Amino acid sequence: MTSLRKILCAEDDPDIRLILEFSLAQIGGYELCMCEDGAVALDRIDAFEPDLVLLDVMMPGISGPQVMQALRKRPPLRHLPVVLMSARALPNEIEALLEHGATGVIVKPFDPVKLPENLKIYWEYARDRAAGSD
Amino acid sequence: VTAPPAPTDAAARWAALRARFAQGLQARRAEIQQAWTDCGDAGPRPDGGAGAQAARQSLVDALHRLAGAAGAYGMADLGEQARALEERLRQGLAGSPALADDLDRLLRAMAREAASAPRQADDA
Repeated sequence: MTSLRKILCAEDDPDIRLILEFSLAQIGGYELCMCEDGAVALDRIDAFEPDLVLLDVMMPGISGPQVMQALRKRPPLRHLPVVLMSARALPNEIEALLEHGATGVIVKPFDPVKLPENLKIYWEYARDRAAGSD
Repeated sequence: VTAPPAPTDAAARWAALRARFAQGLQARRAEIQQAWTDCGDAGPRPDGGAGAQAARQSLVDALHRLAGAAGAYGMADLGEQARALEERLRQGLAGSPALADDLDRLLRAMAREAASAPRQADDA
């Protein structure tokens, strides 16, 4: 991992998808793969090869944490940084998401201007942790 | 897959997105209103029948989505109102006499935001 360049997002709300595109592509300059649910994210992730995955927690069908668990079981993707977005993030709920393998948790509503930098911070944290475990 | 656009016109794009979201509040308002109506005269009680519970869950989901989106679009007060109502419903406080009043306050606030939205964002 040399830099954060490609982000795969899964979010079921069309209005949130639009603001994510604005935030991450237009402001952040990242290359995005935008998915409308968890199943689509799992379907596209191999072809897109993201540097980081951003998942809504509550989605119909496969939830964000379920997508994360699926990724953690696949050796090539086991250490891929996964950031979860939650609109209902009590401290104990955030802690539980981190214990289940999330790199970080973004609380909605997020600031679209700050989101690209916040994801970069999480990506750098994951990179440094991976380097420390080598 | 979205290729990264040049970082130009961000302010205009932001304004268009916000206007689009505000216009869409009419549809969200109708969805919340319908879910509330579907809960029946007793309101969104957690101990209702299957239909009432489904309507209650629809109401919770719609409030949850609004809470997550409104703040990101700079409508913090709207988002906080939705979040407070969602939490009360999740905690089974549907019987609170103020719930209907607070829901009505939220619906009026949504209508105000929708009415004040610029009509220029159809291509957002």
